[in-house]
Amino acid sequence: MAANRDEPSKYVTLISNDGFEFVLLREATVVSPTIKAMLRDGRQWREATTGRCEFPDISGAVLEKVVEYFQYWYKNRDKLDVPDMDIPVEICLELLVAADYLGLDSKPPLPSHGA
Amino acid sequence: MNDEPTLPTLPSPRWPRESPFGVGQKRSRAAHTDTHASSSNAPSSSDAVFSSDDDPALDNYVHGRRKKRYVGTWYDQQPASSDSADSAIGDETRPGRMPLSRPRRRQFKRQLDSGVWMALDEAPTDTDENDSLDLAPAMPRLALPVPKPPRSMLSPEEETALAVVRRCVDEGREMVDLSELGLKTLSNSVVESLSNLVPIPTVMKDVAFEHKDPSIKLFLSRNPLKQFPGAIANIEHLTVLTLRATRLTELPGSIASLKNLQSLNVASNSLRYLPGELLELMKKGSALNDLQFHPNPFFQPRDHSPSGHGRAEYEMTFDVDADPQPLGNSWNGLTTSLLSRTPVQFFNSARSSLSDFSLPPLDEHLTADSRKIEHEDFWDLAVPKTIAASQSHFQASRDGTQRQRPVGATSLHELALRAAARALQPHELEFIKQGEYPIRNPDVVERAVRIHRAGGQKCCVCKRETWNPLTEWLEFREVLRTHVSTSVEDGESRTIETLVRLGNNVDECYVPFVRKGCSWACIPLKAPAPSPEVVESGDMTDSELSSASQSS
Amino acid sequence: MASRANKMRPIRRPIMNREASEFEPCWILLRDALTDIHTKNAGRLSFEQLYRASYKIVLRKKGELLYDKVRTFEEEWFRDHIMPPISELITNTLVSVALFHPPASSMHERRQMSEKFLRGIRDSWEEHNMSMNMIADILMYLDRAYTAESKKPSIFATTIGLFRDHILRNSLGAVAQDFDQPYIVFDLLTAVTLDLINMERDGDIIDRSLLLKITSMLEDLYETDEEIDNQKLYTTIFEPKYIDNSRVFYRMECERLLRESNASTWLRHAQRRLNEEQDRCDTTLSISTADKIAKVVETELVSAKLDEFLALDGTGLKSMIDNDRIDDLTILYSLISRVDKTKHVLKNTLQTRVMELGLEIEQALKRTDFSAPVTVAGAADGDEAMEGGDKSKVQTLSAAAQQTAAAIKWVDDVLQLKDKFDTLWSTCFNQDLVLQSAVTKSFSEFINMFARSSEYVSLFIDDNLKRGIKGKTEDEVDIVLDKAIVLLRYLTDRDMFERYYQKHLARRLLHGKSEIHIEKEMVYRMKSEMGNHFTIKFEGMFKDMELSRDLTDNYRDHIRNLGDTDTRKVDLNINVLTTNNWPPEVMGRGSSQEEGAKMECIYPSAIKRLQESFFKYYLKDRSGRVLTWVSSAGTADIKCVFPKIPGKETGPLSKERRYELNVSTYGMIVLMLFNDLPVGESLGFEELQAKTNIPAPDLIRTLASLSVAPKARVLLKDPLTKNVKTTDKFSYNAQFVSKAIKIKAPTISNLSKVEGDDERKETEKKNDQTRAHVVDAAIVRIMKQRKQLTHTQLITEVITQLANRFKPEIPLIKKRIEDLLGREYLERVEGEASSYRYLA
Repeated sequence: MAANRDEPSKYVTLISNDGFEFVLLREATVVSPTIKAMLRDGRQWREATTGRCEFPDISGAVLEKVVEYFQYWYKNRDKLDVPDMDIPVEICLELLVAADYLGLDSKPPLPSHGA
Repeated sequence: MNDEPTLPTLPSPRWPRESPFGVGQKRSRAAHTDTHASSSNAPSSSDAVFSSDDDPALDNYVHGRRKKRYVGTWYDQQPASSDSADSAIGDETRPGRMPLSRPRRRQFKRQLDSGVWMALDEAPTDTDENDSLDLAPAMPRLALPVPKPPRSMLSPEEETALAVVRRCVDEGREMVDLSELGLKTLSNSVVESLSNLVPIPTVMKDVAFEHKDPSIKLFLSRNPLKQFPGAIANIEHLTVLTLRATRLTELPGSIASLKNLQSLNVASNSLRYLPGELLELMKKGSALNDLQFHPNPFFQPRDHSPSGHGRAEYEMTFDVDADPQPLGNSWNGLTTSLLSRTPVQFFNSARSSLSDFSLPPLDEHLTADSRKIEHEDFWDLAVPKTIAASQSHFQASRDGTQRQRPVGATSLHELALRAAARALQPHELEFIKQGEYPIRNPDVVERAVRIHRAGGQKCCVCKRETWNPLTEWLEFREVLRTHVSTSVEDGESRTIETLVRLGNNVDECYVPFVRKGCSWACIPLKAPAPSPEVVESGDMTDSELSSASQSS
Repeated sequence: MASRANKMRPIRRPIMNREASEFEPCWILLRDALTDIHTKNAGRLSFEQLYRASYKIVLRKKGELLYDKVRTFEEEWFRDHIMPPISELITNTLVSVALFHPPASSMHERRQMSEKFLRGIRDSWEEHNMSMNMIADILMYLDRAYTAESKKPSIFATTIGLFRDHILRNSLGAVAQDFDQPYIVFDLLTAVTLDLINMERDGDIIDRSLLLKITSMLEDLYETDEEIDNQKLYTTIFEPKYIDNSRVFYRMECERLLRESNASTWLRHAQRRLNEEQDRCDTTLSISTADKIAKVVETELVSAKLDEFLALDGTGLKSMIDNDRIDDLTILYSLISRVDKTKHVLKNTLQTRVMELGLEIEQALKRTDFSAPVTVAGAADGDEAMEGGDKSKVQTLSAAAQQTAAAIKWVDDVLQLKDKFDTLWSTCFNQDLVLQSAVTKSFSEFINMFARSSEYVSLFIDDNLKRGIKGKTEDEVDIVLDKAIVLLRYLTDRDMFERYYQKHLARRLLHGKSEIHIEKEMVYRMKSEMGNHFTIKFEGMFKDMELSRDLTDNYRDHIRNLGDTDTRKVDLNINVLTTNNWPPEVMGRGSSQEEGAKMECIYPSAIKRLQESFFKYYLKDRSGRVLTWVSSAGTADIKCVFPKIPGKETGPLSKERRYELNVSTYGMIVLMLFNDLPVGESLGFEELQAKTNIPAPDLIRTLASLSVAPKARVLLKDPLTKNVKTTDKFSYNAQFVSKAIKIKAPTISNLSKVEGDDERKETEKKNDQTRAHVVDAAIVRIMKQRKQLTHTQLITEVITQLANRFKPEIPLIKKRIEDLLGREYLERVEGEASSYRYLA
C-alpha cells in the first residue's frame, strides 16, 4: 500500500465548495478531460502538485454523486450492457451543469480491446 | 481486477490514527444528522439531509461552511451508533484499518454510506443488500411535506377528448374517434386510460366466453397537434392509428412499440422524415400492412443515382432481428429497400453540429429545393477532425461484432438530462429556456423533455436509451408492399412473394428515415471502398418488382 | 420504485454567481495567468480557477470575445518577447554564410553559427509550445463549447501558428535587403539545417538532438490553422528541400566515386550511406522521410551508375564472380534488390558468365593433353585396364583412358562450376529464385551445347560407382549420386544418356564391379527425378541379375541331386539376360560384330556338355525359350597346375604350382586348347582362330591378356613383342610363376570407357533410329486421340510429349510424319493446307 514517493500518488482528492473531500483513484477521474488536464504531468498546476482539486462551484452533494459516477464509470469501463446509474432528481440539474463543466458529456472513448 | 481500488494510506498525519473520523471529532451538525441516521435503518447516500432543498441546513451548505478534512462519507459524522449495520459499515470504511487484520478477499461493492465506491471486507447484512439501490427511504425523513404534482391543466379541447375517451373505456368501444376536435396538444393523461380499455365481449348462446385482446382504433385526424402524444405508444392493443393532417413535424421512435398496429396514417403532416424505428414494424411477420405517409414535405436526395456498393455492410449496423414471427400461408406486409444515406451529422452535448453536414432545423421553412439532401456513399464516412482526434479508438472499435452492444457507462450528462427531463415541471423548463440557470444550451433540455413525452428515444446502433443523440443521419428507402403466399404443389411447398412499390412517382419512392446514435461511435458501418470493377447490381428497384423463391 | 417517488421532489436550482461571472474580472484573471504561464510562474496557479473563469465567460456567450482577446494577447506577447531575441540571432554574417556559402567561411565557424541559431529557435519554440499547451488546457471549455461549434481553429492551433506566421514566415527584412529574392526565416532555417546535415555526411559531428527538435517542431506546425493532416510544414516545405539537397549531394558523390574509386568501394559506400540515412531519419529527422530518402540514395548512388560500376575492369561484377568476392556480391545483391525487383543486370551477367565459364571448360578439355601420364594418373589410376599393364600397354590403351580422364575432368569441372554458383547463390543472393532459374538455364544451355555431355555424365557415374565402393562412406556416395543427378537434370537428350548408362551399367553388373545396393539407389533416384519409363530397362537388368543368381543356385542343386560325378567338374555361374533390357553390345550384337550369321564360337566339349545340361534344365520350366550364349561376356576360373620344372631345385620353379586363373570366356576357350597340347608345341594365331571361331579382334585381345601382361603370362608368344599379330605363335609357359594363388588375367575390353569418334557416330545413329521410333509412336498416340490436327499443333504436341526424354528436332518430326503418311497411318485433310487425319 505504500506508494512510491517519487511517483504521483494513485489517488486524488476532490474538494467541494463546502469542504467535503473525496479521495479516489486517479485513474477513475481521467474520464473527465477537465480533471485530466488539471492533473497532467509536466504542467505543474497547483492541483497537479498537491493532488487536491477544489471545486468552488460544486456542492458536496453534487460532487459526491460525481465521485460516485467516476467510480461507476471506472468499474464498468469495459463492460457490456452496464445498467444506468440512478440520479437523484433533486440534484439532476446541478449534475447536468457539473457534467458539462467536467466534460462528462459524451460517451467515453471505447476500449480498443473486446470486452 | 488486479488494480482493485484500495484506499490510500492516510495521506497526512493530521488526524490521530487512534481516533477514527466521525468519532473523535466534534462536528457542529452531528446532532442533527444523528437523529436522522438513527431514525432510519437503511444506510443510504442520497437520502442524506443534504440532498433536499427543503432542509434548512442546506442553505448553509450551499454557501460553504468550511469543514475539517475528513475521509469517507461526508455525513458519516455521527458517533458509532448502536445500530449494528451502521457501525459495521462505519468500521469497514475507515481506511487505516482495513488490510491489517483482514486479509480476506474484498469485493467491490457499492458502499452506500459513502459517496465513494470503496472496497468492502464483507458483504453487509441482508437488509443492506435489499435496500442497497433503493433511494426511496428518503421520503419519510423529509421534514417538509412534499407538494403534490399539480394536475395537468387540460385545455377545453382536451377535456372534450377526455370525455370521449372515458366514454369509450366505459362502454368498451374500440373505435375512438377524436378527429377534428381542434386539439392543439394531447396530454398523456387524456389517452393514458385507453390502455385499460377492455371490449365488451359479444356473448352468444352456447359459445364459451373467450378472452379477446382489444383492437383499439384511434382517429386523431385534423387536429393541430404538432406533437405526438407519447402515451399513445403505450396503448398496447392499438391496431389503427390515424394522424392525418395533424401538423406533426416528427414521429417519435417509441412508435415502434405498437407491435399490434396494422394501419398507420400519417399523411398530410409536416414530417421531414419517418423514424428509423418504424422499420421494426415492417419486419417480416409484423402486423403493419397499411401505411399512408404521402404527402409530407419529406427530405429528398439531391441526386438519384446512388451506388449500392456496401449496402449490406451498412445494414449490418443495426441489430437485425433474425427471428421473424411465423408466417401464415398467405401474408400481406410491408418491406423496404435501402437506396442511399446522407452523411452523418455529429453533435456535441449542447447539440451544436460539429460536422460539415447538417440537416436544416425542424422549425425552418423549407423550399422544395432546400429539402434536397446530399447523400454519402456507403464506403465513405466523413468524421469531423475534432472528433476523430478525440476518439483514438474510433476506428479500431468499429469492426468487431461486440460493437453493437454498448460498452461502458452512459455519460453523466445523459443520465442527468434524462432525470431532469422526467422530473422538470413546465415552469422550471420555462426558467431554463429563459437562461435563468447556468445551462449552456437550454434547447437540449427542452428537447429531452420532448423526447420523454414522446416515449423516449433509443440509439439505433447500440439500442441504449439516448435523449440527446450525438449522431444523426437519414437513410432513403423505398417502401414496398409485399404479398407472400404459400401453396403446395407436387408435395413441394412454393412461396411466392410479390412486391409493389408504394408511391406514385419517382419522387415519392425515396422515403427518408432518420437514424440517431447515442455517441460519436454509434455511426453506420463503413463498407470497404469498391474496387473499380465492381458492377452495379439492380436489386429489383426499377424493373423487377416481383420475385419468386422456392422453399421446401 | 424510486423514480416515482423522486418525481415528487423539487429540483434544486443550479446557481450561478452573476457578479463573479462578469467578463472583465474573469478576463483579468486569465490575462494575468497567461503572463504567469509565459514567465514560468504557473506553479502557483490553480487550473480549476482559470478553467472556471473561461467556462463562465463561455457560458455567458462571450466565447468569441475571449477567443479574440487571447489571440491578441498572444500576438502581442509574441511580438514583444519572443521575436526580439530571434531577430538578434539573425545576423548579416549568418544570413550570408548560410545562404551563400562564401568561400571564406570555415566549416567549424559555420557550424558554430548554425547551431547557435538553431538553438535559439529551439529554445523559443519549446517555450512557446509549452505555454500554448498550458493555455489550451485552461481554455479547454472555450474550445469545446465555442471554437468547435463555430468551426474555428482551436485556440491551440491559432496560437501555436503564431510561431509559423511571425517567425518562420518573417522576412529576413533589413538584414537581407541586398539580396534579389525575398528570403524568409524559414529559408534560413532550412539552409542551416541542410548545411549541418551535409557536414555530418562529410564526417563532422553535429548536435543531432538539436536538429531533431527543429524537425519535430516543423512536424507540429501546419501550413494553416486548420491543421490539415498532410499539410505539416515538415512535409510541405522542409522534406522536399531535404530530398532535393540530398539528391544533389549523392549525384555528385556517385560521380566522384566512379572517377576515383572501384566497384567494391562503391558498394560498401552505398550500403553505408543507406544505413546512415535510415539512422538519420530515426535520430535526427522524421521516420516518415526514411523511405523517400532511401529512394534518393538508391536512385542517385545505386541505379544511376550501376552499369558503369559493374562493368569496371578488375572490380566489376565479372571479377566479383570469378574471384568469389562473397562480401561484394552480398552487398550488390541487397542493393540491386532494392532498386530493381527483376535484378536484370545481375541475372544477365550471371548467365553470360556461366555460359562463358562452361564453354571454357570445353575449350580446356580440348587443349589438355591427357596422354601425359601425370594427367592420366590422377583420373584413371583405378582403371582396370591399366592395372599391371606395362608401359607399352599404357600407350595402347591411352586413347580410351584419355577419354575417360577427359570425361571425368569435364564432369568435375562442371560440378565445380555448379558448386561455385551454388555457393554464391546461397551465401550472397539470399537464395533468390529468379537468379536460380536463370543460372540453371544457362547451365543447361552450355551442358547441352557440349555434344558428349550425356556420355560423360554416364561415364562419371560409372567411374564413381566403380571406384566409389571402396573406402567411401555412405554419405560420400550420397554426395556423388546427388551431383550426378544434378547434372542429369540439365541434360535434354536423356535417351542418349539412357543408352550410355545402360551400357555402362551392364558392364558393371556382369563384372560385379559395383555394389548392387548403390546401383539400385542411383536408379531409384533417377526414377524419382525422371519418371518410371526412364528406368524400366535398368530395373529389368537388376531383375535379370537376381533371377540369374537364383537360377544358378537351383541349377547347382539340380546337378548335385543328379549325382553327376564328373571328375572335371565345372561350376557354372550363369546370367540370363533379357535381350531388350541389355545393351546390344553386351549381347554380342555390337557394332564391331561382322554382319551376317552370328559367329558361334566353338566351345570345348566339357563346356558344351555343361551348356546342354543347363539348357535342358532351363527349359524344364520355361519351354519355348531360346538361350543364346554370349561368349564375349563372362569369365571363367580355371584351376591350373604347372608341374615342377626339371632341373630347378630351388625357387618357386622347383615345385609344382597350382594357380587359380580368372580369365574371360574366350580366354578359357583358348587356354583349354593348350591343355591337350604336348609340351613344347605351339599354336599359331590362325590355327587358334580356326579352332575356336573367336572373332579376330577378340582373339587378339584375349591372347594379349594371356601372353603380354606379365601378371598372367601363362602363354608364351613368339616373337616376344608387345602387340599380338596374326602371324604370332603361342605356346604353354611352363615356367609361369606368380606370388598370388588367385590370378586375374587383365580383361582388355573393346567396350572402351569412352567411345571413339566412329563408335559415337554409331551410337548416335542408333539413337536416331530409336528416336525415330519414339517419335512415330508419339505421333500415332496423339493422332489416335485427337483424330485431326494441324501441322503446327501436332509438332507442338509431339515436343511436349517427348520433352521428358529428349528434344526432338523439327526436321526429324517432319520426316516421321512423311513416313507415317507413306505408311498410311495418317492422311492429309483435303482442302486444309496442313492438317492431318488419323487413319485407323
